[in-house]
Amino acid sequence: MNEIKERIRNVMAIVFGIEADQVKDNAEPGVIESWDSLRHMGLIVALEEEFDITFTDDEMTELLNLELITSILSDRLN
Amino acid sequence: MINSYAIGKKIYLRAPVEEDVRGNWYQWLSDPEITAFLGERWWPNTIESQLSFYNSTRDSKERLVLSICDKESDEHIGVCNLSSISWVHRNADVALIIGEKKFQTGTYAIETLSMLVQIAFSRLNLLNLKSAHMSSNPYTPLLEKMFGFVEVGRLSDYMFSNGSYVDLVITQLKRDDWAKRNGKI
Repeated sequence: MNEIKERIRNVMAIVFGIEADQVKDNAEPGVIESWDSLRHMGLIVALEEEFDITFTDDEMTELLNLELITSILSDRLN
Repeated sequence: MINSYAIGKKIYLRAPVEEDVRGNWYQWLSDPEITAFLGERWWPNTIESQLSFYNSTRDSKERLVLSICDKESDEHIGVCNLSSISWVHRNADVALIIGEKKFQTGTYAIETLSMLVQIAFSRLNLLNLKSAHMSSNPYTPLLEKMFGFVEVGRLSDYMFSNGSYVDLVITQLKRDDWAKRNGKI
């Protein structure tokens, strides 16, 4: 779980143009200033590439913050 | 929720009503920020032309227009549609617009497209969806990629946008591919 979360943090850091240690556990739009609509979509595409998976339509509507993303990816990968 | 046709997590879709036309809808299609990458932004929109569109589509079986509403507040936040529906070939064009700026977070567009695709394939029994975007549009290609739309054609220097000619990119989503992605077959 922690390893997955770290990989997500790294992807978020690249997509949002910040350092990985600035991606806190409460990361979500509003908390990370650069998390706008374009980067939100970019994040989902980047996560699919990083983890070599395809999110279902349902999953894509749930990817709203770091905690939910970690939970969904952990379910998929374990 | 009022007259909901499809219910999602944060939004619901319903048939448009005249109050939508007289609300912000017609202004969205004049706003240069909202229409920056749309193909319908060359002339200012008016209540009259929006009303005319509304009246022309309300009983149409070749176009399904749905208002996007926030579940929590019932606010009308955008519009989506399936157009050029062919009941012979079982295909349609797909488009959406989130007009209210505070809902332009990406998540509402994602949920809308998810619901619209589901309606097209599972409810209306369509087999193919087509979309098109200008190559200068940074948003739509990402949204389409997320849902598995693939580029099938490109018309070179086809659209005039912000002082230069850009390509028109055509993408397609097949029901079989959508079903596979979503574990439905």
